[in-house]
Amino acid sequence: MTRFLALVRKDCLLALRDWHGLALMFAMPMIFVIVMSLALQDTLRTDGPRIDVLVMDRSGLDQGPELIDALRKTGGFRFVTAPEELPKDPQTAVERDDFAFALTLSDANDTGNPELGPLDALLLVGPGTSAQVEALLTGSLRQALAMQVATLTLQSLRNNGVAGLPEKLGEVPVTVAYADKAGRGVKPTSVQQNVPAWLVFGMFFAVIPLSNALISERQQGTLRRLHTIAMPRALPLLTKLVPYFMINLVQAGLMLAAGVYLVPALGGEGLALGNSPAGLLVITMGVSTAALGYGMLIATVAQTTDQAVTLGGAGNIILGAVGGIMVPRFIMPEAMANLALLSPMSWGLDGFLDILLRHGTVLQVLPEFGALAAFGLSALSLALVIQSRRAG
Amino acid sequence: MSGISGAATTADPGSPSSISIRGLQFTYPGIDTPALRGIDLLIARGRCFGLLGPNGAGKTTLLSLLTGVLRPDAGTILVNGRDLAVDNDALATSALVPQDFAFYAALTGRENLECFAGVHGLRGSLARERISQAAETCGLGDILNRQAGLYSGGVKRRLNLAIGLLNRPAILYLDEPTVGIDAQSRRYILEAIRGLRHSEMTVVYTSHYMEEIQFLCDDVAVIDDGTLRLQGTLDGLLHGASSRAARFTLSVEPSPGALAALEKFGAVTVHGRQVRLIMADGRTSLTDLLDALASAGLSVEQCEFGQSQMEDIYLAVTERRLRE
Repeated sequence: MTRFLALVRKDCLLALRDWHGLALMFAMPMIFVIVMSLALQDTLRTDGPRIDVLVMDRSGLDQGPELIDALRKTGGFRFVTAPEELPKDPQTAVERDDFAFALTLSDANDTGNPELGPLDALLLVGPGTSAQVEALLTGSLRQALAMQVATLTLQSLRNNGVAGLPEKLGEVPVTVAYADKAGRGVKPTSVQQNVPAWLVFGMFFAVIPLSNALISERQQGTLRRLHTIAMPRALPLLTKLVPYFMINLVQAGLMLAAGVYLVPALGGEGLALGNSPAGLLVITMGVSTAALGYGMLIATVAQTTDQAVTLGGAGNIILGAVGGIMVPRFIMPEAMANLALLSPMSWGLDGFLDILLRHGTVLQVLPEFGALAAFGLSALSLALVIQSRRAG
Repeated sequence: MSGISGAATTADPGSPSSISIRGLQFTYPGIDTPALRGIDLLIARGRCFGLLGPNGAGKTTLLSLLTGVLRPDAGTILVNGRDLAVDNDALATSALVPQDFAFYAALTGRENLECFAGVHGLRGSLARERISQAAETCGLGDILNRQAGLYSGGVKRRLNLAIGLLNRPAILYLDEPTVGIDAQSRRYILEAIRGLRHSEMTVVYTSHYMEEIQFLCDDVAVIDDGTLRLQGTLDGLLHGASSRAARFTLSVEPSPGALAALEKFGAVTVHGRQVRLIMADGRTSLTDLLDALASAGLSVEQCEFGQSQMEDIYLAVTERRLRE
């Protein structure tokens, strides 16, 4: 019993003094509980959804506002009319990511299907939305339109008898189109949305081997030895970035290739790479710069490789959860969606989505590249300052 | 300073010095106690200089300052006449062989040597020549293509040394280069280092092994609590005025007061029943000492009397208390 108690006491003391392990066990789930609960709250509540749908009523009919009122009562989405500062063109509003969905109502007499109801509905879907949310919205829309047609039919029956019934009765048409900068109107697929997210997430995991490599050098004394040789002190740190930058590029190439070739071979839809290989390269370089700068900062802050794994791994998961990797940003509440914009993973994801989903060009990803590069270089500069002040 | 300060003789001030240290002070960030408290030291060119001291005395800190890893809070370091504080290139003429296995375990011995040769700016045939010479000096020829992490402790020590020889340094700093290896490897390394003396290289050597210091070094300094306690030539220390020592094994552990009778003859250190005395006066005889012990009521089981060894001097200088 004495032995048992002595060993238990020892293990308790060791566990209690492992601050990083404890932080991982307590802080990580706590942060996840908060982040994921807030991020997903609007998808599971019925009293006030966050997903905004831009509505443009171009019908000029009384039924237009009536339909919008009916839609607002269905719950699940918030139908908003276009604010003044937004472009009048719904295509542009969705392409700019101001709205995930845009609904345009037109007079059916102008668009050729007056027999199926007074209104014609065109739903424009943004490239970053999910198929489930799209199905939910089109279902709500069809239901509201069908109710309107049914009401009008009953009124006609009451007023005119059977003679007043429309010649054709069928499913109320909702036309769905997909917005992208190339104007292809192709429906985004699962692979098109998932590959960029997990690619960015995966690239940031260079943080762990990079920081471990530097900490090992520090612990083994090789860094000290290099510092005794007449050369700039930052050089051994900066050269360490080169292989991991190359590895990040290869990693991105392989993951994109998996989306293009492997997923279809396994029965899924293939990844379309967009129109701008240069844009893909630029945003990949931006994500790598951010990840490696962050990794270097972790390496200088952490004392041991265990700490680096904890800090780097947990930090990546939190950046991913906050940054829209695990939960799409468009379904987050406004406060969370704004918070997501602070995560460099969110910038990287936006950059890849610009190319892969919105078929943008290098110019479209330059803002994201700039933000990622600035983040990476700032973290790297801070790491170099910390390292230079570290005794030995 | 110790009770044997009269035995110390400094290095010949007239000889050209490789390293000149004046008023060197350093305190680690966040620690109140200074690691070095105003060290003055001259290390002559082409000599092997032994730096001794207990754990935590400041030896590695001093080497880190000499090799540019740390910057001093105060004081100057001149290396071959060049001030390290303003002339980083002065480091190009020196090399450090750290106590750690400071190489890349995942690389082969050759890849490690190639890496460090490149870092020193060596290329092509010159790099190959230096690698070949360093490997030969350290007896690495047959195993250079094996992964360094798989080497035995002795071979790792030899590779560690070989890396330090690549730039043919004018000053080689060796920080306990034989820790944790077998007698054969230790002897090989000591012989290799002694062989370097023919190249007029200045060697600064730290160790806890007194016999290594006696085997290799021309000059010795003892550092403790960040202060230089003793500096002199090895011959001067071993054959100087206080060069005679006595070691006694007593029948019982002596009380502190009981040894007062011995302390008038020189510096006394006690470890259990073992008593060492470095005599201040070379004329003291064994009979004088035995009489003093008898008058203090201490009986002697065993005694040695003769020339002092480096260990006697070291223990007398650094005193007997344990270090943190």
